Amino acid sequence: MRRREFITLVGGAAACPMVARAQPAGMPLVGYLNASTPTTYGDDLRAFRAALKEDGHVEGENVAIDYRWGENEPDRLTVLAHELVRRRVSVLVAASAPASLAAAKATTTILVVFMVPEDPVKLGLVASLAKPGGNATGVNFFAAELAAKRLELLRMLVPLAKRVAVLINPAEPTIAAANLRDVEAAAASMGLQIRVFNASSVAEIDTAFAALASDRPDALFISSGPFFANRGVQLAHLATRHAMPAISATRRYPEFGGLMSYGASLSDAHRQAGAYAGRILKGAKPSDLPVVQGTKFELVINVSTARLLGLTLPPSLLAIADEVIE
Amino acid sequence: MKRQQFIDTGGLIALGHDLYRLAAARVDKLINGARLGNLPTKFELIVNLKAAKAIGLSIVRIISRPSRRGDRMMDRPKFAASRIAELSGWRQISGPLFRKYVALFLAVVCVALLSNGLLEIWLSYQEHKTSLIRIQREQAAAAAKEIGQFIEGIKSQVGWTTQLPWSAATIDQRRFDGLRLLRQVPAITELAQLDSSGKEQLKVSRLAMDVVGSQKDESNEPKFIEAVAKKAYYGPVYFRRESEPYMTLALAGTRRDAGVSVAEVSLKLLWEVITGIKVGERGQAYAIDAEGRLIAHPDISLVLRNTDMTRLTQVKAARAAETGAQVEPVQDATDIRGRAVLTAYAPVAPLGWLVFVELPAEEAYAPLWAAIKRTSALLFAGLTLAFLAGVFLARRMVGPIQALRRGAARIGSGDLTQRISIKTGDELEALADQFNDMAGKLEESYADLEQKVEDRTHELSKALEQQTATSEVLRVISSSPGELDPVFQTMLENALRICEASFGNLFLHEASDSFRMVAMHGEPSSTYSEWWQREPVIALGDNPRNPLAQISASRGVIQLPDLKLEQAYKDGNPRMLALVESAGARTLLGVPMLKENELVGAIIIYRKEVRSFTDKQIALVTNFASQAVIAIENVRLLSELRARTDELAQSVGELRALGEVSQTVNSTLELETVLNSIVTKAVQLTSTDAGAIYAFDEASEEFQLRATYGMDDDLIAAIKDRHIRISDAGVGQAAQRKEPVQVPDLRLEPPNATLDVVLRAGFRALLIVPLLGAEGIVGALVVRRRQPGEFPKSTVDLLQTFSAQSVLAIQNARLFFELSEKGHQLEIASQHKSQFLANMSHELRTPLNAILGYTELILDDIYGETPAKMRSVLDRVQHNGKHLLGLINDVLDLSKIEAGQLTLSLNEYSIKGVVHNVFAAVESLATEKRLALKVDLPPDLPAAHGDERRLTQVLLNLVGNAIKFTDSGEVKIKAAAANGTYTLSVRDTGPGIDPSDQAKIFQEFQQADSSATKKKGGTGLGLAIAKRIIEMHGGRLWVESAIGQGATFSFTVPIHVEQQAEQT
Repeated sequence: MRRREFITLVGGAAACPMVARAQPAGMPLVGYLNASTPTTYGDDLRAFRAALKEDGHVEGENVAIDYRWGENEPDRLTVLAHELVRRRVSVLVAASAPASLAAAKATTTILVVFMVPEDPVKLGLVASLAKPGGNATGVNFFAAELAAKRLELLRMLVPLAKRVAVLINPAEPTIAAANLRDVEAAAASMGLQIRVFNASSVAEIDTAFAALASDRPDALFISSGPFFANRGVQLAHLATRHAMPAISATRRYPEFGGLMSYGASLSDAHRQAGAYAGRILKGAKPSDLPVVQGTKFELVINVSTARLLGLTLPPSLLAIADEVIE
Repeated sequence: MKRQQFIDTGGLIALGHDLYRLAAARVDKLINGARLGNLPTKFELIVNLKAAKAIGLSIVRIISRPSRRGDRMMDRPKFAASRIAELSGWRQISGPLFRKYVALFLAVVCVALLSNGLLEIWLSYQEHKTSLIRIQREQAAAAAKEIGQFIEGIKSQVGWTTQLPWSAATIDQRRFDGLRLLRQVPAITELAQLDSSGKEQLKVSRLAMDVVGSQKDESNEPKFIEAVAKKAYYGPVYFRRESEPYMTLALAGTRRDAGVSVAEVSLKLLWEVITGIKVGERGQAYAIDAEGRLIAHPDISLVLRNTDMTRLTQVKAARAAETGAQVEPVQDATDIRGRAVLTAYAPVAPLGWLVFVELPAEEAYAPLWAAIKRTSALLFAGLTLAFLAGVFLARRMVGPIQALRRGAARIGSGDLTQRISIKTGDELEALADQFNDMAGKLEESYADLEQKVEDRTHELSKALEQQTATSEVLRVISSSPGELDPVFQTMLENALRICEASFGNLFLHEASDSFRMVAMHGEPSSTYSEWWQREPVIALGDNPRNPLAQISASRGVIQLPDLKLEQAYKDGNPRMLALVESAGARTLLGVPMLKENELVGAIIIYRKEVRSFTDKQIALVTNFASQAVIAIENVRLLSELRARTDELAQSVGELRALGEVSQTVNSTLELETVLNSIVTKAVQLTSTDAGAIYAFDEASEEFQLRATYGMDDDLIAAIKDRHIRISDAGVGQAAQRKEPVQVPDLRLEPPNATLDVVLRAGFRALLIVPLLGAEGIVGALVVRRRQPGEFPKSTVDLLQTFSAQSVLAIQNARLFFELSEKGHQLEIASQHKSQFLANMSHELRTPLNAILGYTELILDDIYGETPAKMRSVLDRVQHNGKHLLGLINDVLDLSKIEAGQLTLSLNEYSIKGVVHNVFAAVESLATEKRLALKVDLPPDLPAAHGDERRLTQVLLNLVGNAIKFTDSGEVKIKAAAANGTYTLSVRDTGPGIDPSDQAKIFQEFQQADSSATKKKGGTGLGLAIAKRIIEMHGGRLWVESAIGQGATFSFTVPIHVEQQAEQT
């Protein structure tokens, strides 16, 4: 019951209408820096704004939010971060590791609320999760760590698979390495053969799928990371076209017609970040705010795609799926 | 004035009438002859501004002219009274009584209300707190129960996985169950299943891959052992990545072979539970684990920071209580953010966790504060009501009293028409009525008093008028002593004025039974006045019916009411006719002036109308008559006194001059000074202009000028050059006749050289008195006057007295001169004698010592045996030689003393020793003469300081004399000490010394009886020397004796002689 209420709460907040983004004079300003494009972040931003509102900060009424998008070009992030710092934002919210690192480098005084899938201690953002120690805190949600689990889930749906293709983005080396390491270990334990394909751009994804088509693996493992997360539509389209059962880290993939996804909820992360931003606006000190670990993992399965691919959903998988898209 | 004093010493208001000052003013007016007006009723109000300011009174409206010291306001009493009423009006209601009543009422109500209110507040505080704590405990218990249920829920879910024995289900089945559990229970992140032997058979996880049949041995882990033993195991809370709280939950199946399910539970989801617990508006619940770390809190970040809660007092106390210690539960504490909270806790039973419920104290006690505010408001309202009631009641009580006080104050301030109106129907009204009665009576008596004052004032003014007249007469008497006219005039004037008479006369009685008119006042008519001037004396013999005759006869007052009815008038007595017809007199009052029944005179006053004089008027005139007598007597006495005083003054002057002259004569032997003084005094006292004294030189038989007074240097020089001989006129003439000679006018004298000189100097008359001594003419005293004329006898007599003094002075001066010459010669001779004696004695002693020494040697047979005959001769030689030596020694001593050469050698000595030495020396002599020698010495004589040898010499001399002159009986030496003085006496039973000889024996070379001396021997120097020695010690030597009674020689010496006394 409580769990449902909790989710409903988040859902309700997400339903709030968008408001004007102009910043009237005297309002506190929240900077939002995202390495990606705005198109796929509607729900997440809704969750973010809802969390702010829970603390009484309503965008356009008593708070202004300045959104900056990296458009998947990492070089822009530093410039954008400095722009936000110059605007003297009260708090700088950064989604993804590159954005967070850019933000953290741009300022040592403005508090940065990050959302990173990697370990922020390893990234150098904080000293420890419980006591961040600097001007940055935020949310750490799991992505790369779930690679093995993701491979297992993929195999549960495609039990006969022997050869698995792994799509990674070498432009995100840490993520790629983490994924690859976990996947290789898991594949070895399960007796799977893997083959790695690289793609760092839209064109390369096409090229990679062309290569995949000739190789014909039994399933595809799509690495986590913002790049692939933002290319959900293209990936789903290509996978379906090549009748390739694939698993992604973000739920957008099954939503756009991909087979399945398993990973932390980005909306949940945004909700947490929004809550932190709200508290910082109210004057909370960074020492009061430990790094929150995202514990909400979603298994989303697109039943139509599965049926299309001729896959039968085992009851065990159904039992654990958080969402089944018909 | 008392009022002014009161104000000066700080009083506020003084009010009073001004009767004293008014009385004084009225007397002033009376004296000035003014008529008396109405009784003024001015009152005085004095207000002290300083005092008023000090007690906060504003008196701006009352005083228009403020001054530093105070202020005065004169007005009618009513006005003043009304001002006072105004002044006290605004203070009346807050008087002490009023305040007392209000305060008392307030105090009573306050105590009741306050105690009740405070008690209520305290009780409701206690009650509220108790119920708050109770509610919180309940809430804490409920929260604990919810958390318990949350865990129990997970436990029961996990429990499903242990239903089947390990062999009963396939591994896939179990895996499916596991996955479903993860799906259903989000808090569980991992589930492991161990078989009955403790080997891990399955592990499903959200993060990692599922593991099947790892056979990992967990049998030694507590989670397995405890789960098997207790069916359930709750592991300690641990923090994954030091941030998120987790707990291991292990359950064993009911069947032995069911194995154990181990679930890792994320406690982060407790957040939902804890957030769901509503504690008041802003209160919150939180949970801690057995270690005291925070595991659930509405602020999840606190949990993620792995917060240690053990430092909170409530946590400390709760943990202590859970371990069984007797600890008072903490109710008021501060939470992790430092806010004051009301706290309660409950344990979560199987887990060892504690759930705290905390409500901000502010919120918890808000209802209580509201209740207190409400009660306070009610209390305040109650007090206000009580105050108003108190004021109302006090006003009801104090109002009439104030009215009474005001009324009494007005009555007291003189407004007697004031009536007090109080209609309370109680004792106060009765009191007011009594006040009104009193005021009425006061008013009546005041009116009486005013009338009496009026009458009395009138009487007083009359009396005063008479007294003023009397005193004026007395004043005139005293201001014009010796003059009677102004006295009589004033007397008549006053008598006429007061007796309302027209004119009057004052007569004096004269010897031949007649009266002389001496004063008249009123001037009735010129004929009448002229009559009296022509004939001021009335002989009574000629006018037997005259009123004066009647007075003379009766010695009493006569009043003739109508003169026209008198016999004298009817007889046609011319005086009476003139009196009545010319002067117009009709009524007559005659009063005798009596001095001890002797008629001195009479006062007669007349009225021109027929109207009798009153007794008081008669008394006044009688009084005047007595005063007139006194005045007359005074004048007589005064003139007598003046005559006597003049005589006395003259005598005193003469005596003083003589005294001064005598003093001069006695005080100085300077002849010049004496003579100058004599001539000065003589001139001054005889009121002449100059004077001179001549001394007669017997050798040249000429008079020489010795002293002058009032003569210029030229005249002195001229006269000094002149050789006035005894045959000359003037001085010579007087000397020859041996009586005073006076020259009344030098111009009438035959020409004489000396007199011409004097005449030229401006002198016209002179008086010469010869200075006659016992042996003839000594000189002459001359006084000169610039006015010609005879010198009165008194002057001559006086001058003769001066001449006697002059003679005395001249002779004294001569005698003194001779005497001092002789004294000087004698002194030198005496010194020579002493020197001679001292030298001679020394010269004599030397050969005598040789004679005695050799005689003794011969007697000692140094030069061979001395024959018996020769020995007796030599004995005589030696005896007489020794006597001679004694004589010489005595002479030497005496001469030394006289020459001032003898000095005492002062040392410590014992008087006892002195007496014993003397005793030893003379004992044999006494024994020879069969005399008893006795010594009387007190045992404790003090040690003395003096010349022991000389004192021994004195005592030896006295004792030796006593033995020498006593033929039978005894000689007794006695010593005594008293008052720092020794008294030694030597008493014998000898022949005694005649008193006439007693002084002589202490002189040199003198003895009492020559015949006895010859028989007894002696130089007659011993006593003289003894006396000198004693005197040099500052003591005294004397003798008491009578013929046939023996003699006692005594001397005293100071016990301590520190210095030799001056030789006289």
